Amino acid sequence: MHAKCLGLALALAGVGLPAAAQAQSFTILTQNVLRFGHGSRLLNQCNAITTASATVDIIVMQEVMASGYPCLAANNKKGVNVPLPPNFAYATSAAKGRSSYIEYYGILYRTNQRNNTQITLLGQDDALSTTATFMRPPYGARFQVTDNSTSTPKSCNVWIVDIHSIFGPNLAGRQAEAAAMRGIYRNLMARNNGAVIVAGDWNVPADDATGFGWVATNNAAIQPNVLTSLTSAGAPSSAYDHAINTSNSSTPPSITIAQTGGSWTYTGAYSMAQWRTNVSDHMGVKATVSLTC
Amino acid sequence: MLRRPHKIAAAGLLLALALPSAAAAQVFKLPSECTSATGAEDLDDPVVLISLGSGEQNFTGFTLLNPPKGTTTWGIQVIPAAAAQYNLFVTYTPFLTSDRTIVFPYNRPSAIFLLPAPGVTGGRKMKIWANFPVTIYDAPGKQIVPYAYVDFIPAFNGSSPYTMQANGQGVIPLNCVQQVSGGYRITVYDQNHAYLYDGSFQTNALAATRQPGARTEADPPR
Repeated sequence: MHAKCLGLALALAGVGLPAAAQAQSFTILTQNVLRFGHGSRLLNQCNAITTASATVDIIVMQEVMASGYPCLAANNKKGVNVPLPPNFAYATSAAKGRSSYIEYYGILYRTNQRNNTQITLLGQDDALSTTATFMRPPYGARFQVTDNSTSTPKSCNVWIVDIHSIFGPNLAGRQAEAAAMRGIYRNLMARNNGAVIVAGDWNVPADDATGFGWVATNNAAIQPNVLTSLTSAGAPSSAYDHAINTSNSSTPPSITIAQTGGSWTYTGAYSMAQWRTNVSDHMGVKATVSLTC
Repeated sequence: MLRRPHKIAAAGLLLALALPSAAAAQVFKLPSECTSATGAEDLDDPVVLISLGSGEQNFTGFTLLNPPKGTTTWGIQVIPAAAAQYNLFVTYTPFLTSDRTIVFPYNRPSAIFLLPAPGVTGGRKMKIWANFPVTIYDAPGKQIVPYAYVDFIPAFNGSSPYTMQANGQGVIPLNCVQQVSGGYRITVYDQNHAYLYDGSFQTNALAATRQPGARTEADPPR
């Protein structure tokens, strides 16, 4: 089980940085955790997240069904009690939804130094939009990322925004939410001189021009565009999980998503069918992020 | 269009291979017609939506209660329980729901309501197809789409899709499908993952014959 999350995450490894700037690097994983807290797969999900946490710094989660970290006994009725991953803290949104069916957004973030990088939660914004525009209005957390590798530590700030888009009866509704993210992205870019990453389950591919056409003209990029949702048998089905990130090569702040090949690194001794049954109907997407500011 | 019995049997075999443990883990009691239920996630809680007679559509003042040991009936605890009409809509699987209206005449600190059994609507047992192969057609409804990827959309606000892939004949064998008046919503992609359309399939007997404009043909056995 412990190898599963690592194997199913899309590893975007390797770093290519502008030589002139000192960069603050960290690793982020976004994962739709499939009704996290409301299924008997909860223990497997908790173990998968704990395993993944060893090699990442921020985990952005969707379909969280409890107001606190679902793996803690106080937050579930499944008899599961798995602590927060070692050296991680948890930030969460308010309840999200237009009906009695509600979800939460959850972000796990590392509190100890890893690879000479220290991450600090600076603030949160849970009023980025409303349910008139989004089925589950996005939730943002702002982090300071400090590179302590030299005698003169340098910090950059970044907004991490969590999104689980509507599916609904038609494509237009999904595209509308993707398009509406433009306003949130521009709003956050204008605040605090920070970069922005919007990560989650969008329910439309990254190359959907109606939903994401704004990205290329707003100093942003969207990636990856690979199959992440799974059929009931564990076959990759649709490219639903991506991140929009600040991409401005000339004027900081900027974000570089490092990538080597962009293909699946599915190498574990297990099956996707087992992952689908035991953990989630989505694979995670994982990337190394380098900030300049 | 009627399917020959041997083709239906073949579809059932495919399903058994794809979802070997769906029935064994079921915590709610399946309708008598069903031996397994497509989309029955392993011991997942049912999704309960409640609207109030007063017009409130997104009532959230309740907690789901797990079935007592040895039973299969879920419940909710409403805290506080005001005198009101509670309209419950329960989703057990993407193809199996129920609803119930409860008129609660008291104001109490809390009250426990039992959820209606799967496939029961307004106290009436709905028609349920134990096996329900769905044939996926292209948008014009002329050609089948072999190996199509289909997102089945549960009928509650905010739901996420349940995804299956058709076989080489464009057939997805579903088990334990409740007849619903509006049919079931789907999003269809071809075998190369290219988006084709949003549509629906019907579950009444008439839908076995493709209707003008219908994009997906459902062909329940009989």
